[in-house]
Formats: sequence, structure tokens, C-alpha cells
Amino acid sequence: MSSAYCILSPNHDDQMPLDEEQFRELKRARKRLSSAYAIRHKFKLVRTNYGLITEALNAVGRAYLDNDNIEQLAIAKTRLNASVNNYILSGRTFTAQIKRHVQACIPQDRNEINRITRRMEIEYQRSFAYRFVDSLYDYVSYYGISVHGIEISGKHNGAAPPAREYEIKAYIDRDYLGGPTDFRASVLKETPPRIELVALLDEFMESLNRINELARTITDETTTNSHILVKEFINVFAGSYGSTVNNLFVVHSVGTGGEEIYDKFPISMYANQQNLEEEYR
Amino acid sequence: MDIAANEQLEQLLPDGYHSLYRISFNYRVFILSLADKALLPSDSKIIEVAFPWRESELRKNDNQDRFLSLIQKGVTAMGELSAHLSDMACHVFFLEVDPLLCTFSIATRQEQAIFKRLQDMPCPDVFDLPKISTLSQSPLEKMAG
Repeated sequence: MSSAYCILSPNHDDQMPLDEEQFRELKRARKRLSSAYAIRHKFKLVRTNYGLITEALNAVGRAYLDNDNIEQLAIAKTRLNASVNNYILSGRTFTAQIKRHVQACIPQDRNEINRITRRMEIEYQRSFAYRFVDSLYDYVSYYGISVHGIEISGKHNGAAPPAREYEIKAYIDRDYLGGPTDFRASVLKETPPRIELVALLDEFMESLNRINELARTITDETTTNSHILVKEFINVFAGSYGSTVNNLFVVHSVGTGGEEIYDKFPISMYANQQNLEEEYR
Repeated sequence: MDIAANEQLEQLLPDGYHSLYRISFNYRVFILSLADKALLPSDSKIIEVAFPWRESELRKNDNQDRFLSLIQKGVTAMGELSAHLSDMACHVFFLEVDPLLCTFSIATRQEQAIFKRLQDMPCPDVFDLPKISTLSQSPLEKMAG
């Protein structure tokens, strides 16, 4: 059974043959890029969920101040709870997977992986927010609720004519978390009676930022080199067929006529990221 | 996070007071508290007047309007109470509205005189007879807590 390798443009039925070494280079680069991008995607997911929490909080505040009906209030509160749960879930996805992604980018460098492990240990030791959100994941997985109280405060802003400005805060109440059998005992012990949600998440985000920055620093060179390699192949393909193309795939086919696809993966999506230009380069 | 004011609520609330909604699974409380704490002498005591809502008030509105209606009535009653005590050395510095009670806290150094004046005040129609008590904490402690 023989193997054949090529870059394929499904939209134009064009294909450029590759040798096995080129295929392996592209496959390695794609694996590294997909891991590097997974770090970025997951971090973006956490930040986006943070944004959704602030929107949901705002909606709850408006619903109360505008005296919306019971159903609208219930929807607003449910959305707030959902957005917090999504945030906590995405935070755990980020912290649970980041070492794996870094390792996929630099499989031969154990020391660098250990730097990530050490950074996460330091965040856990130094930041109550990190420990608490990490523990909260288990709690919300079980109970499905993450916000226990809301406060909407109104104060005069000192302007003329005077107007009242409102601020909304959400809280997690220690008493509602239950006892040590419901929540990680060591963390529950140090938990204050009330935790203001956004302040907690701000501190947690700082920890994630530091972990993300380190992961980026460690993987940046590999990512850049992989990106250059993929881009070169895409440019050669475009040069061969006389036009810029997108949506290219690398294909490994087997069989006498190359009729059976053994492996196939995209490459254009890593080279031409239109979203988040800064983050994806 | 800042959110826009509600006009209806804005018109209702007296100047010089901060407002606070507290909401959880099983309680909902609206609080007005005096903005300028300097108006509360540190050696003053708290007289607390807790009015239960009349049953008819709790039945009057559907769920949607009930709580706003209770807030409106509580704020109106606070105006009446302040007017009734206007010539006395005291401040109605705290109002707490929940679905069971409407509670006023009065800061004063003249507890006996305020007690007597409160007993002379006709009970507003929306309430049943109140429980009046003196608290051990100071007004500033209550504001902090």
C-alpha cells in the first residue's frame, strides 16, 4: 500500500504534491499551532465569559430597578448564574489543559513544562481567589448554583441636579456553601462570610493572566516558527496556482490510486486568522 | 458595576439617603440609610419601630408590583414619621422594607421623650400596631453592619 501526500484546495480542486518529510513537517507545525491556539482560545473563552457575567449582572440590576415582572427577573437571575457557572467551567478548562498544550508545543523540553506547573502552584499558594474558584468548580458541578445574593446600592452622585447612581454587586455566601463535606475543607476554613463576585474574579483573572503570559512566552518561538513554515507552504501553493487561496488542507492518502484518505488536517485556518489578529498573529 | 437609575424610583426616594436592595433566594429587602453619618451623634441610641404590614396590604397587588408598592408605602410612612418627630432632637436614619415588616430606626439621645411621642402617633393605615424597642448598638454600628 503506497502513501501519497498533498496540499489540497477543496474549493478549486487544486492539489500540490508533498514528499513525506514535508508532510511530517507540516503535521508537526499544525500540531504545535493547534495547541498554541488552544491556549489562546481557552483564555479568550474565560475572558469572554467574564464579560458575559458583567452583562448579566447589569441586566439583573436593571430588572429590579425597572420593576420588571417576576418572569423577567427570574430569567435575568438564571442568566447570571449560568454565566458565572460557564466562567468557572472555562477557568477550570484553561487550568486543567494548559500544561498539555504547552507540552504539545515543546515536547522535548521538560524544564519549561515544569515552569508552568510551578507557576500554577505559586498562584494556588498565594491567591485565595485562585484557591476559591478552583474549589468552586467542584461545588457548582454538584449544585449548579454559584451566586447567593445580590445588592443594588444607589447613591447621589453630587451632580446638579442631583441624580442617584446605582451599583450592583453579587455575592457568594459562605453559609450557603455548606460544610466541609460540600466544599473543599481547607479552602472553606479560610473563606470569609461573604465574597464579592467581581472582585474575586478580578483577582482570579490576574492569576490566569500570569499563567497565560508564561505559557505564551514559553511557546512563542515554536509558534512563530510553525506559523512561518505553514505560511511558506501556503505561499508556494498560491505561487503554483497563481492566486491567493484559503481553506487549504494537507492530505495523506493511501491505496494504489490514493483513493483512501488516511489523514487530513487544515492549515489555512492557522495562517490566516482574521479574528483576534493580535492574539493569534 | 454602574447601572442607570429608574425614574419612578428616583422620584420616590428622599434626598440625603442612600438606597440598597438586598436579594437572595428567600429574602428581599429594601433599605434607605442616611447619607451623612456626621448627623448621627456617637453617643445617641437607636429606637427601632417595627410595623407589620396589614394583611390587606400584602394581598392588594400582584407579585409584579407588590414590592415596589411596599417600598412606596414605607417611604411615605417615613416622611410622616419624620414630620411627626420634626421638633424633636432625633433622626430617622434607617428604613428597612421587607415583605413582613417595615422597620424604622431613629437615632436620639432623648429616648423617653421619643418613646412618648411615638405612642401619641396614630398608626398609619397600611400597618398593624408596631413593636417599639431600644437597641444596644449605636446608629454608626448599625450603619456599618
